[in-house]
Amino acid sequence: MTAIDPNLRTTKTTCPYCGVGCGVLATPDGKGGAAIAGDTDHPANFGRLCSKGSALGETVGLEGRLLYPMIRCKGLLERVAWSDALDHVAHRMQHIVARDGADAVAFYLSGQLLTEDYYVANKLMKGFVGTANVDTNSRLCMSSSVAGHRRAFGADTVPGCYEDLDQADLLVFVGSNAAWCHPVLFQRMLKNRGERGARMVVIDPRRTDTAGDVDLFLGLKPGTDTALFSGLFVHLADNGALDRDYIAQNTSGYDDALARARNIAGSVTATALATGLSEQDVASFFRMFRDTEKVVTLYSQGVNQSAQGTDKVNAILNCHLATGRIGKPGAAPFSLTGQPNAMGGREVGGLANMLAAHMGFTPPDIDRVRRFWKAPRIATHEGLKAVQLFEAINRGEIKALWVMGTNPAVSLPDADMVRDALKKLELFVVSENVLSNDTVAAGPHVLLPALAWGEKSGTVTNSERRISRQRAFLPAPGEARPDWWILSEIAKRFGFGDSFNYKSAADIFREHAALSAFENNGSRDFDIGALSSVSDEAFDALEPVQWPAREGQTPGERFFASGGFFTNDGKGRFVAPEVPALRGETGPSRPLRLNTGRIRDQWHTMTRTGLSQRLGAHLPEPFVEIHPDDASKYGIAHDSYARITTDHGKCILKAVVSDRQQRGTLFVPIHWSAMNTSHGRVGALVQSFTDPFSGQPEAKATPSAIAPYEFVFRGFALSRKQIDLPENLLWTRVTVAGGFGYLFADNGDLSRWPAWLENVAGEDVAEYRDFGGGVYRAASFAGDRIETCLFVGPAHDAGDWEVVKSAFAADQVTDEQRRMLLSGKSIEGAASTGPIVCACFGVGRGTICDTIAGGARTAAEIGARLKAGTNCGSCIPEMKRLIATTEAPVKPAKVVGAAG
Amino acid sequence: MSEPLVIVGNGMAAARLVDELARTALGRYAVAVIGEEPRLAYNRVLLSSVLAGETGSHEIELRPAEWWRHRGVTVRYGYRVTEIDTGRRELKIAGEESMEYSKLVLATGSTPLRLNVPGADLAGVHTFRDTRDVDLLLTLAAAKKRVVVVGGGDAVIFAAGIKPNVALAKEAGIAVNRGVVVNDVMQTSSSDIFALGECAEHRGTCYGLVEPAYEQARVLARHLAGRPAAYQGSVVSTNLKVSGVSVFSAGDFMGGEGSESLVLSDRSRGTYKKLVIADGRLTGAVLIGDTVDALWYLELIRNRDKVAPMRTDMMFGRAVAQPSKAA
Repeated sequence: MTAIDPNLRTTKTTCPYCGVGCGVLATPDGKGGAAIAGDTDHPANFGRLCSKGSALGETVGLEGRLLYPMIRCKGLLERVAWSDALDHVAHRMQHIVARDGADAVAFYLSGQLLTEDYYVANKLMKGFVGTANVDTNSRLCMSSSVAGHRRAFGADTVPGCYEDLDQADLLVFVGSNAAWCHPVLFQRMLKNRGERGARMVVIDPRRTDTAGDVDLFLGLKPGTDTALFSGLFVHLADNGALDRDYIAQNTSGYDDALARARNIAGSVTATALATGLSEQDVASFFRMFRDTEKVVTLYSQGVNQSAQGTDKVNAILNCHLATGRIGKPGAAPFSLTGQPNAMGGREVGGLANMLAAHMGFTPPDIDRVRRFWKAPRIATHEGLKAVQLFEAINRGEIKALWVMGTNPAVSLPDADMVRDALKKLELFVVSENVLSNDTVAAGPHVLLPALAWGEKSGTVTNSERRISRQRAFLPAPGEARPDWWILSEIAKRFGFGDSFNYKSAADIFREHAALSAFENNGSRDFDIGALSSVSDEAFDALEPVQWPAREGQTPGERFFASGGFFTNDGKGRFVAPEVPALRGETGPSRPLRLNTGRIRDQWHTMTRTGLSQRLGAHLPEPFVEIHPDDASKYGIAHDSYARITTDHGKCILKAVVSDRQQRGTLFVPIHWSAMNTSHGRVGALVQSFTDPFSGQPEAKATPSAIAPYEFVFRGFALSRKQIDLPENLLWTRVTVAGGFGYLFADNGDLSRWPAWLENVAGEDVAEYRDFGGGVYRAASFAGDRIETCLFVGPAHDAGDWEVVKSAFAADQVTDEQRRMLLSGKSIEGAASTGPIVCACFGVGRGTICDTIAGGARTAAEIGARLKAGTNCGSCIPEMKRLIATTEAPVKPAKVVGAAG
Repeated sequence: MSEPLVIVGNGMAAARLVDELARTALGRYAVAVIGEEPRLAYNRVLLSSVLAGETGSHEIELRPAEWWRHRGVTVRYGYRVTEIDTGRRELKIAGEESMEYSKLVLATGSTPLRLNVPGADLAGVHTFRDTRDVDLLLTLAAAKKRVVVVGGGDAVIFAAGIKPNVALAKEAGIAVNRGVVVNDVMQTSSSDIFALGECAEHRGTCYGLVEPAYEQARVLARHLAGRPAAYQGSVVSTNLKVSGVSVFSAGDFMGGEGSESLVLSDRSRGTYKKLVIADGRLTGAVLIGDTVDALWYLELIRNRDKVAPMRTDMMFGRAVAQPSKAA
């Protein structure tokens, strides 16, 4: 472990969010926080950070952290010594394995884990306990890409690299809202567009911010990506755009796959029909792809999270294989990974259908890994993939589960079932950073405090196969320990101490590197043998390095430009996909398809991003997006509330009526949980149909119904500490400057609020009552500082919390501010700055609209005046929308007339 | 020959009526004022200043003796009228001869309402109404006794209400409700007898404040001068300082049946604001501690504009509710 520098020196590390893997410079402030900047030397970001990365310094505090091992005793979690916790876990696991066999225990891991943690967990279970029931939240994220890669390439290989994004002339986004989910890469591609004129095509059922002002937006019907790329394959074949030499020399399966493609979408017309697109748009896309040699197709969750996700991946890969546009500068298919170390997890084999180091469960691979590990009981068959694993827990077949660094009670499909299933476990262990999340609330028997980002040390791999160091810049708090240490201690108690005698992350990394090179000789893509004897010092100083890093070779080559696939015959395979069809039937009671996804400023279940007040300001509440036609059909008004029902669960969410949403579909973000909202566990809505090859669930097309949900009152509360609101309330908690904000809607009697406040607030209270007008507002003070604020009002006119929030943020309020506080208006009577649009600089919508009204007509002009959009740039599409919808300043009548 | 016009009561209403009569009907009436308090009419509103020690007791006299003299008014203070003989148009005065009148004006005022609570009659419970009360309270203050004030939040002493002095009229068979019932020219049920000020009840309202009395005095003087006049009722307000705290009240600030109350309180700031809304209009207001917007509220009450569009903001003043007009 890296020692903490007492001089608070700047440490180079890597961002813990998406798979772009940006380099971060962290400088501890000596008070538990850190100043954060982009690392200009890191080849993933060259100094840029997105809104989430920029706000990392706000998320490293110790409030809410799990700092000591705990064991449940008579229903309550009690602090225990590490040795007791470890003895207990080891003893209970051994007992269950002895009684029910190794397959009765399982690990559920995370793309947040470092490669070294992942490696030890995988080795322990697959090599020594003897089960492959080791799966990970990456199953929900990119396992369809893994499966697609393996089918086509014979290995889970990302052929290209980020430089291709700079060099491409055509960038095709499929099911990817990169503008929000991979902002730094998206900005990099916009730069290419600006400087080199690269064109962009966005293929997505939703008109996301990525589609802001691209050259072509294809708003296809959900689940029809395979039809579009089948049509493209046929078009390429019929229009002389194939690389016939490449196909002949390096591939197999071309004829069958093309025949299937013709069957699915044999023409532009058939493609248009299958996808719901216009023939003109389809033809235009086909032409652009056909005529552009340097094309990168980027795909993400819209492709992966599907019961036909693997086929979608292969339909895309077919087009790149057919044109030989793979592994060449500026030409490649490119899977954008969601998590900081999804790739590292894949490399160690942390998926139930992988063994280790990109080796699978073939007899030679099993034998090779067994010999390398000197493993006494190596698993000989694939384990259960996430969805099936939790179903097995629900059936009582798996009796012990250890969850590390992830929140399955929220994130898995049919999440209420999952939450209930966890309660059936005989042994339920959770390694965590936080004291509370939905999984911790599901009744684990043992809680183990793991090191968090900023404290732990090891490596992660980003979307372009680049291994970077995550380094510690904060001291280990409480008794938190590295995950690899915890696992090694368990292994020692199992009697495998000799094989888990690790002293450092570097120790583990060297073994992992050695395994990747073991009997490899170029036969496997993943090889970092050049790093297998790296010294501790060299590991600490390790620069970002791309694999393959074969012993004696230059690292970071692209793959497959001239064949060299990892299939038995060395040829890349065309795969014939199934005819596209969504799982789950819509009908009169479930007329809509529910799509799930992410928002710009939050990450996963918000256990980290939720700590930042800046990130909470953009979209503070969970919401459902619906097309205006559907909204009017189902009686949903913008900014009202709506109840979403599926066969699996219910949510009540704020309605956002937007023509960016396709008719017949709903969109809900995934981030909220029972920890921060009352009725927004979106995972509970999602069906659990999975892809037959990848096991990835269909998370974007659950049959659903929507109905208006009326509330009489709405309001908000602000508090220095977390508070319990009255019962039967719809609420969402948001981190705000100086404390916590609660947005709520209520059908209870207004008169219950004064009584509630009395319990929450102190003596010094200011109060405004207009019960007849449906209004109750109050604030409590400690000296000159606001302690609590409560605003309740009629649902249609409940007021805006921005002004109150800024008064609350201050350490003290003046008498005049106090006088005006309950008005909800700023002291100058000025309009509030509105919800935050630019999270990096904290610029609100109102301020931006004022600036537009003041004459700024481009994002650059706004940036010049307000700085908004000049850091990560992910708010630029939103600013452009505001420009388009905000009245231009009044000009001489003639000009206005001409414009009108 | 001037008609004998007698005013019973020697308060602010009587003084104003004399003033108005002198302007509109000089010489038409021979005016006599009979008052029970042993001094010339004084400004009752300033009693609190006397109590606060800011003003001397004699500085609050409304008019000097010569003012009355110049207007030919006979002022008899320290006398109590005991009976009105409406048949003979005659007043009986304790210990004095009877006095005839042609027109009689009752300006007998009111007595402070003692709250109907247990202990209200105990020794040490005082009301605050006239100079005698002030003298007593000043004595108590000098003895450093703790004084508890009831009514109007922590400060409008008389806001607990008034009790019109109606006994004289009632015994004379004049229609009396809470006060002496008058029509729009301040005429009682007995055609030669009028009433004004705090003893009068106009359209169901007894006003406990000076401003309506002044408006009534003007109307009555015009009527007595034979000019057309009609009193439509007053929106009343008070604006005063009690022990350094600004207090304002206007209109129907108690808020009865069919009205709604909006209340802002911030004890530490010493602020209490209550707005009363009825039929979508502001009908009353009490402000304590923060009276910046008092005149705006008064204007809203008097204009009878619908306030629904600014209901939520109204409490926080004109700068919030009507930012463009406030500037």
